[in-house]
Amino acid sequence: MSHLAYQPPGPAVELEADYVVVGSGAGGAMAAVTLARGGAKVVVVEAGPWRDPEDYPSTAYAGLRDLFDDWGTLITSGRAFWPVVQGRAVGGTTVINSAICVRTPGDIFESWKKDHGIDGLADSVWRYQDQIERELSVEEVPERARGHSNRLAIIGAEKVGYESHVMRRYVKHCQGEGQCLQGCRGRRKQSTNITYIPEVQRLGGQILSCAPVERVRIEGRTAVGVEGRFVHPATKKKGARYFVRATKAVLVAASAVHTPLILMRSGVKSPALGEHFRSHPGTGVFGLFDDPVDMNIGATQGWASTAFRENPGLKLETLAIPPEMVASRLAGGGAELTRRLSRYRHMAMWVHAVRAESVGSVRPGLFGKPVVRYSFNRRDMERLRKGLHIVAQTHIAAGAKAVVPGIFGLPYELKADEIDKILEASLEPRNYVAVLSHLFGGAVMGADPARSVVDGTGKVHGYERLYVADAAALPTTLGVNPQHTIMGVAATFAEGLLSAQGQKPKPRASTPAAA
Amino acid sequence: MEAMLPAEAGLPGVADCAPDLFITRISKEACGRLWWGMVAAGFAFQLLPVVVVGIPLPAFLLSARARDRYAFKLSTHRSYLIRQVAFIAKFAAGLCWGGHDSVREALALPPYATDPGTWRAS
Repeated sequence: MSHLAYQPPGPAVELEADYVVVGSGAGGAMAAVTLARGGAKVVVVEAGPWRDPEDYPSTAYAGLRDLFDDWGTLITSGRAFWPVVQGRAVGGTTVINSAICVRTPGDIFESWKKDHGIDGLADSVWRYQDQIERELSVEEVPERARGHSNRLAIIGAEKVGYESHVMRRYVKHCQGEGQCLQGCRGRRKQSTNITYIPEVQRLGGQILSCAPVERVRIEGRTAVGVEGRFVHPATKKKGARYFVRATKAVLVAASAVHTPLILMRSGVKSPALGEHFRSHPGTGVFGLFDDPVDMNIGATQGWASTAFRENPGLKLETLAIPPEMVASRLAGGGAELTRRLSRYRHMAMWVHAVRAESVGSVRPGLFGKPVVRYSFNRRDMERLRKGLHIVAQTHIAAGAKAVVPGIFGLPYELKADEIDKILEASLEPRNYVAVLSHLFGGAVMGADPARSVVDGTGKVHGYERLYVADAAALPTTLGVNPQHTIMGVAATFAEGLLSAQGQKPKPRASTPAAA
Repeated sequence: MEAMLPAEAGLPGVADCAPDLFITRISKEACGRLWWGMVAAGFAFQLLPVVVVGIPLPAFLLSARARDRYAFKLSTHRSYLIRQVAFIAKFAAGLCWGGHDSVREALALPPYATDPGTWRAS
């Protein structure tokens, strides 16, 4: 059977493959399909269920329930409680993100070489990124799907005078349904659950879903497989145990939060394990326009700017959010909050992600749940505040009558001549609402085993047949959306494994799910 | 939840959006961290009027006007932890309110389709 979902309590399930890949998101799926194309027998083990576009929820409520890890309730333990958001389903976060495709900037590879002793990845990662762009039909958001909010942002950036562009995404013929965050029911978004994971199946691989991994089984210093227990996706009841033996290697690609925890539970010893956790925390500003913007019509995210990537270290984007989420994002309560929400149609949410230098950690907490310790330092807070000001300027330039900065201590609304007040706002993190959605590190790569968990091939220092192939291995932030980099690095690591066996990945098996 | 988003400005309030059904549903479906966070925030909401608006009564005994003032002050309080109580209450209220057909109609949004709640079983 090529897909095994929840199995009720009973005899343990035992499987064997050349490679076991833990996780089916950007990193896991890419590593798995690369290995499968090289002729290897692959088993992918995913904690969440496999939901096809017909299974995707419509409401934000069910989106959190069905597709987000723990309903999106993981928050940072630090100075402020900021949510840490990631997907939990076959396809991982690629199911719930906006599928934004940005190639890895060259300076990232230079910094990995200079600061972490990792060399030789650039050519391979870029070559794979070329291939992925072709395979996943990367295209600019088409004119018909741009929506008013994205068009206004283009106008605003032009008037302020910085470079911006229509996003390129792994989305085929977007219809602008504004449902990226709940999964694209129209099959336009090329998330890995409808592209690379089915290809792994076609090439003879197997998928275990509803199967969170408890640990990698390590004998001596050699990984021999993974073990865990099926969990029912609705009732959360535990089912049968399973063990998947890997005759060649185990690749862990369960996210920057879960990969370090799985390695810890497996007994991996490394002073860097769980350390060097990094992120691009994001926050935003609502613009209030005279005419309806209807931000939920059109691509959820369709506009971006990388003009401030190096200085001060920001990425700007549009982001349409449904009224369910706007309610908790706006200040105030009671009748005043309802009055504020009554202007929902006139609101446009534009955001920025901070290329932060702050570093945190991931540890197991109560009942084994992850604890992410992370706080912004002063320089990052200055970047965050500066970004809010740039976004506010853009709104005003685009014609907004006022902005809602969402900073505690400032007035709820700021008119055009008041937006410089943002630059004087307190730098206390608790006065801001931010979300961590781009996550890095926790099992970072590097040449020095004292400061890193894996080497430049993804292999865990000091262990045999054990690899990390996802964002957990990335030793720095990127300043751009990470999916493309994660995929390129994961494919490179997988190709390295094949090469060591004298194998090579062949071209794709057949076309992925078409729109 | 109802105090956080009452009917106003031509929009329905949480009370118009079947909150009892919502609570029953989320109590069964939510992860422990969310459900117990909501329960704790609910208790704190009832107990904090004395701290936030100086009235030594639980929130459910406040007049409608006083409760509305309290809901606003709670969510704009200078204490971060108190604001977090309001945040959780607003998060739950928003999920109940924003997905309801009557609210979506008022905001010129199409009604949501039914959530299938399904997955590949094999």
